[in-house]
Amino acid sequence: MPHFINCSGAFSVDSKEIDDQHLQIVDILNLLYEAKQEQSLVTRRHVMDMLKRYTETHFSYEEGLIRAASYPGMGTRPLSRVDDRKDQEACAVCDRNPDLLTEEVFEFLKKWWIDHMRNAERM
Amino acid sequence: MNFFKWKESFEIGSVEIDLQHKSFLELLNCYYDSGSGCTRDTVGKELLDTLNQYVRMHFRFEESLMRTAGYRELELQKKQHKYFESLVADLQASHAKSKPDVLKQALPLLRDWFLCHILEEDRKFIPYIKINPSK
Repeated sequence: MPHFINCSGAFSVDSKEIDDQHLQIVDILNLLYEAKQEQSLVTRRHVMDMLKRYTETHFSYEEGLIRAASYPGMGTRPLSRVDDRKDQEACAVCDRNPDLLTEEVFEFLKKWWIDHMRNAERM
Repeated sequence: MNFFKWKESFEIGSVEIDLQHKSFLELLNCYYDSGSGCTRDTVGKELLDTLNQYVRMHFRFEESLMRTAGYRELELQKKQHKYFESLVADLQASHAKSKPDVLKQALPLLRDWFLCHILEEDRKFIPYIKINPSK
């Protein structure tokens, strides 16, 4: 089955850590797409959970970098990256109702993550 | 009684991978509990389809982690994964042909192979994993 997102090396930033995390999440999105095509409910639910955990870990890591680089004195104040949470909201809604995981949602996730990886270069 | 009982000692140190290993073995339990799928029933077929899809997802995920980590034994792992996928595919074929003996023999083989693979091969690559989300 062809990959839903192909991006090896295309959105590389200066950090191998960030690149690895992006590639990992893209791989998980591809697995989710595959599970959806195969109409595998059990697999899809597991991959959705995995995507949420990896996304959360990735955002926390990036936010930590931004905090350390730009706001050394901000302590534990939460960093607002509302747009970066949109994909998690989309996943949470689909998790409650698997039928909502449509092609449109996948296209949204794909566009969102490609934009995110492009924007990461400016971090 | 469960066909397979998960123990903490089977954990290899990655929450994600451990969760997937456990889920796969629970699926084997479900299949066993459904009467080993010895009849040509819909439940057995659906479980086998799920088992097949789940194991492929799990292996692709592990291979993706290994690729990202630059793990040297990726090719060996891929060969072993492919072999196991063929065992599950054989199980599906036997189910379709209603071969109860083959099915009964296959389940312990799947369980034991998977467990050996976890404990002997998967343990080796865990130290190379860079992203390890908690539950």
